[in-house]
Amino acid sequence: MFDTTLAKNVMRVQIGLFVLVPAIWGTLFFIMPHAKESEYEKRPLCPAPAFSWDALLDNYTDSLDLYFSDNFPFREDFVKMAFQFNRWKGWHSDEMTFYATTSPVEGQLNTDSLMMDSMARAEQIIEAEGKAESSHGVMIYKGMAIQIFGGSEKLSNQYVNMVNTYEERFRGKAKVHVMITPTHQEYYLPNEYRHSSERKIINYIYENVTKNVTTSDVCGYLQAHRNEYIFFNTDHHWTGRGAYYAYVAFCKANKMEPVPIEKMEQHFIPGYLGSLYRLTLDPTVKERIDSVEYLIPPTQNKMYILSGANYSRRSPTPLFVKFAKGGNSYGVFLGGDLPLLCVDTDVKNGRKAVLIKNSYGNAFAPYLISHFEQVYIVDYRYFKGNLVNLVNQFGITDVIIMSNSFSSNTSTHTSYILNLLNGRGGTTTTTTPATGSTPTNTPTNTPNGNTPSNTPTTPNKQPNPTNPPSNPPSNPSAPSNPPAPTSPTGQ
Amino acid sequence: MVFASLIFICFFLPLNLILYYAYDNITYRNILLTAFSLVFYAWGEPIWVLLLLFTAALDYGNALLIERFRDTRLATLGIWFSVTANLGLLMSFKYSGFIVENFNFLFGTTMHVPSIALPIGISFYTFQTISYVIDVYRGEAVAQRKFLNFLMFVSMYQQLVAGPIVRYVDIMNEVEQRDHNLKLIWLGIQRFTIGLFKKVCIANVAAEFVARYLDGDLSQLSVGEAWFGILMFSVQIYFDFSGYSDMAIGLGKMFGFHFLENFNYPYISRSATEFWRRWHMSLGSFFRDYVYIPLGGKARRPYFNLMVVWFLTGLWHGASWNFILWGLYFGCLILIERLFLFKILDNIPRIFGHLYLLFMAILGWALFYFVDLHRLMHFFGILFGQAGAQAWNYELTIALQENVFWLIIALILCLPIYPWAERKAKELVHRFSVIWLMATAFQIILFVMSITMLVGKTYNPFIYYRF
Repeated sequence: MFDTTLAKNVMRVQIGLFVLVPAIWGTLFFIMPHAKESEYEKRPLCPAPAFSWDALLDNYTDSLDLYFSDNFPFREDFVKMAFQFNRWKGWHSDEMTFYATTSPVEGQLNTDSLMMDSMARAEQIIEAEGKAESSHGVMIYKGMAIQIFGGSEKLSNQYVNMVNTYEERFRGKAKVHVMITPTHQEYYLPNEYRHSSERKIINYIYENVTKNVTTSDVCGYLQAHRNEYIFFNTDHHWTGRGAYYAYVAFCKANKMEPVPIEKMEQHFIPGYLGSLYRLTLDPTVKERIDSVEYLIPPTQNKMYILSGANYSRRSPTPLFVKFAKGGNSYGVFLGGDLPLLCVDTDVKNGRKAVLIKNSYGNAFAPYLISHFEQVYIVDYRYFKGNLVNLVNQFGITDVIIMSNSFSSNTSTHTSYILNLLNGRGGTTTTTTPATGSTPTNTPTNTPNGNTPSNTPTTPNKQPNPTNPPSNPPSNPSAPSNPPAPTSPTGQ
Repeated sequence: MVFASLIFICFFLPLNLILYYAYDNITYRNILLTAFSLVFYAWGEPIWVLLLLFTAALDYGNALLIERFRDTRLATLGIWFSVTANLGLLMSFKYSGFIVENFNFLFGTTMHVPSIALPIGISFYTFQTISYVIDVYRGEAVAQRKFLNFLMFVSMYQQLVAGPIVRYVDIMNEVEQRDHNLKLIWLGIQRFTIGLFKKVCIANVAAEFVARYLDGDLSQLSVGEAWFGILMFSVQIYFDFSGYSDMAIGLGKMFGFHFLENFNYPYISRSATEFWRRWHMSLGSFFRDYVYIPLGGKARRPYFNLMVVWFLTGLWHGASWNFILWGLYFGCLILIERLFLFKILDNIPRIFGHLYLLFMAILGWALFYFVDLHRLMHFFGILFGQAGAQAWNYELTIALQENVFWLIIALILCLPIYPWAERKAKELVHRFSVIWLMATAFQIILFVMSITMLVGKTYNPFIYYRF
């Protein structure tokens, strides 16, 4: 059968194609210009790696592999086709798609590494809010990307202990408030797809903190407004409007009058594709592209970044960074995640607040300015100072701890908050972390990346021959157990 | 470098093929292949390429010595030296940590546990050179006079990093003289394409499930997910490794070499004995010819010999107790089969044999996968409903739903569909010459699909690669 002319010609053609077509592609790589960013994946593409003899012995060839595949001619088309192929693997319901998140990248919140693809980086950003323990994947339900909550009473106990410790430490000096907000799941995901109920866990925490701590019924107030645009479709955060209703809840719990929404200046930043889109690259989610609504309270204010010894250095910074756009639009709130901010207002009521938050708190913080002379904003992930000293130094009257359901069930986050009480003293560091929320996101140009798991040959360097490529995340243990005066009923 | 990478497919291989066929001289071609192979190896191991050269030089010299001084004490010295040196190197790089750990454990010492990075392919090429020297000693092969040719044999990128373990006797007639023709090259491309598809479109997809279910928090796993996870690993390791062997064999053909088959549809076996005649055949035959038979084979202490072989087979796969347990596990199964199970299996419907083997093989892969014995125990607990895990969860339903077509294809491809299709094509091609075009179109589609999936992923793990 191989001797016929047809056979021979077919074989010649196929051999020719096999050798020449890839070779042509390789040549095109040198000829065609290289894009800096993937439009589809919303991430920067690997530039040419720097050569050095040291690098050659280390991972220069891995970088070359990545350089070529990141700049493969017509890469965007291939990636889109790959996405299609992935969808043809099975049957997809119109209403929903489930994305199980693989073991997240441990450790650093460093998003500068170009080695990471968009999914890993997006995962890190989301991980900054609450880790794998409490997150069970992402469900796209009717076009909205929803993180599935996996918290439990057992996981919440550490948070309860932490809040009670705060109350004890500040008793007589400042009032402690705790606010835990639910996320998309509570309002937009049918029960049968849920692992745990955010509302139940939040209520569990509220019931088990001491009576002196004020709790705010964020759940209930958001529930009443769930048909409004309170959560993003493509991002794990809530919108400015959602944060507003949490603010209303806070006011009601503290017998304060919230500023009516009509009195606020309303603004929009369109064209926002958030973290959950970047994580899943789901086309239905892409269609529901978000706009970031932010509401400016009518109170006069000036905001400063605080740094230096005894927080004496004050650098002015806007409360809302109006030029934030694109993938960093959420950074309009406070300009992103900074360790320590202070807002001076024209309110005169003798009350000063400190808000301890992660990036969820960014959208909430501005509303506080109408009720306090000064509002200090601490991002517990980056603030390295001592919170007790801060409260003493500035005469703070209200300590507000704000978390979302995920981070309240994540031991690393709870530990961060707890350790603020024992911090390193009066100085804050001024490092601005490069999370997805900051408006300035400058990736470095050296692709000597730090994530070994993204390169084809690095698994060889492990001494144990068949270690599965992605190391299983070790269960983080609570670093310090506070002397809890009242331990809630453990599970 | 790896075969399933864009740099290999778009630069390395086309360049190699074009240069190879540019000039028809065997020495030129051998030099070219060797040079390319060393670059291929150095790409992943810029330093340890020297070790490869050293091992090749060492055994090149040893074999010549043995042949020159055949039947004298010097020859015996030569063979012992070679085997010891090779195994010594392998042990230092691969097993030193394991040895020290166990020594500390047994004798309560606290020696520092070395942690050495494993050079790629060392388990394969040391076995290759050992087999060469032993074959020369036994008179089954003539020692290769030219270092270039020997170096080419050892370092040939087609089979260097992940097998098959090519023995010198299998290709010794092709070193100096190879048949190059259109058909062979075409068959090579065909085989390579199939291997690439297996690796990229099946094994890599299965690997995602494996990572999802087996690498995370086991206490969150449902029983269904545990079984599905280990089933996926069974799929992954087969398609990964057999795909890689396919690519190796295909690449060999492209350059005129005929390597022996390494896999023969192991999952259709009806016993563990049969399974190991179909799985990683080059390793099985290595242990048979160089350990089992010299120890006495079936004639003297057969059961002891069997367990030794299986202990070593397990140990070869990794420096950890779970691998040894895995090897012994199969050793026991084979023993049981030989003692009485075969009689039973022969008298019941064939389907039971299939089910028995699949069940045992899948459980065996669990042993293979979990290096941490605590996780292993925990996982087995979940599998058999002893760990309080829920039986099923909706995420699994969705996962199955969203991957059902792929799953069916992957399972069907475990069966010998391809040989059947090939036979049919050969019968019909005389009448329907369009079959040629269909076959070609099919290959092209598989190839383009594989490239597409490769572009989408920057991460491409390969399990047996770490040997």
